[in-house]
Amino acid sequence: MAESSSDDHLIERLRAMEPAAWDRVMHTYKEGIFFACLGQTRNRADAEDICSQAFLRAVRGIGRFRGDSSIKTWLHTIAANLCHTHRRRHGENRHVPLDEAPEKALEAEIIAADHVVGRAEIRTALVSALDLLDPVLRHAFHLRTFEEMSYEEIARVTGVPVNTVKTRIFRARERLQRLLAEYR
Amino acid sequence: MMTCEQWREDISAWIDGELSQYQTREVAQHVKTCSDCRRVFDEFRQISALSRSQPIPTVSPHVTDAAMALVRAAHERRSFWRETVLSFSWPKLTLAVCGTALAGVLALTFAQGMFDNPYAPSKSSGAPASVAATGSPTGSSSDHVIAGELSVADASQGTTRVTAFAHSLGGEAHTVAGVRGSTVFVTIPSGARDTFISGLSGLGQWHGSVQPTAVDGSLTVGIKIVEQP
Repeated sequence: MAESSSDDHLIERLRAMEPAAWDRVMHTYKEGIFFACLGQTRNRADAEDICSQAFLRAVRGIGRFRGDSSIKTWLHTIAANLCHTHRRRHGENRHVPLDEAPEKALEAEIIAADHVVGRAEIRTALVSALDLLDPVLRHAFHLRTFEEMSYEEIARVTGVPVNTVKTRIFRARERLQRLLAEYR
Repeated sequence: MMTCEQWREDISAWIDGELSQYQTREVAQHVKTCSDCRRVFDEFRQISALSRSQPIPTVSPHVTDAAMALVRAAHERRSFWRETVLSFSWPKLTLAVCGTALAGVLALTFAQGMFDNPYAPSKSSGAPASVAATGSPTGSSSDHVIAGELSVADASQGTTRVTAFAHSLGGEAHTVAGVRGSTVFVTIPSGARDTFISGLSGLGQWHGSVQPTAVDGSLTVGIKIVEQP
C-alpha cells in the first residue's frame, strides 16, 4: 500500500528524528505491535522485549525505509522478523502441526468446565484456542482480525504470497471453528 | 466444479472483503444454495466478531523508552549541527571560510620561512643546494647557513659515525634530519654549536661553520663526508 501525502510528511519528520513524530508513531502502534508479538511468543516479557527491539530497529532503520508500505505494515514487518528469530532461538514449543488434532486438549478443558457457558467463558476458550493454533496461522489471523490489515499487507509483513495469506486465515478460522464447536 | 472446501476458503476471504465483485457474486450464490457453507459462513463471522471483542492487553509504557532515548539523542546531535553550522548566514559562512583559508595560508608561509633550510634534503633535486666546499664556510651570505665538510679517514664509515655522534648528543636535542648521498643533515639547538663542532672535529677534520640564528635557535646543518687526503 503506497503512502499518502500525510504519511510522507510523517516519514520525513521521522527521518529528521523529531521526537514528537516518533512519540506519535510509537504511541499509535505500540499496543498493536505488542499484541502481535504476544500472539507469536505467548509470553508477555518476551513480547515486550521484542516490541522494544522493534522500535529500536525502526529508529535505526528509518533512513532505509522507502515508504512503499504503510508505517504500520513496516513496523509489523520488523516485529514479525524479530518474532521469527525469537521462535527459532527459543524453539517453537507451542507449535502444533496442522495434521495433528490439538482440539482434544481444549475439548478436555471444555468438558472440565461443566457449567453454563457465558460470553466470558467463550472468550477464555477463544484465547486457549488461539494458543493452540500454529504460529503462522495465528499470526495471519491476528493481523487480519486485530490489526485489520489487508491480505496484501499481511503478505508484506509475513513475506509470503497473498494466496498463502488467504489460505492461512481460512485454516485459522476453520481450526477455531472446530475448537469452539462445543460452545455453540 | 469447486468443492465446498474450496468455496469455504473464498467465504473466509469474502468476510474479509478480499474478493472481487465477480467472486463475491459467485460465493454469495453458492452460500444461498448450500446449507453447510451457509453455516460455515455464519460461524466464521461469529469467530471474527468474538475475536474482535477480546480486550487488547495493555503494554508497559516503558516499551518505547529505549527507542525514544535514541531518537532524542539523534535529535540533539542534529540540533547542535544545525545551530552551530547551518544557522550561519551565507555572508557569515563565506567570511568564516575565507578567514580560515587566509589564516591557513599565512601560517604555512610563516612556517616555511621559519624552517626553510637550504641544506635540508631536497625532494626535487638530487643533492643539497650548497654543501660546503672544502676548507671554507659555505653560504656565509645567510645567517641561517651552517655547513661544512668533514674529512674522515674512512669516508664509507663517515656517515655512520656522524649519525652516531649526533645521536650521542641527544640530550641536547641533536637529531639526524636525513642523509642524502655523502651528506648528513643534523638539527642542533643554537646553544650546542660549540659542543657540536668540537665533537665533529674529534671525528675528523672539519671545515665549515655553524651559525645558529634561526628563530627558535635550532637549525639543520649539512655535513659532507669526504675521505681524508
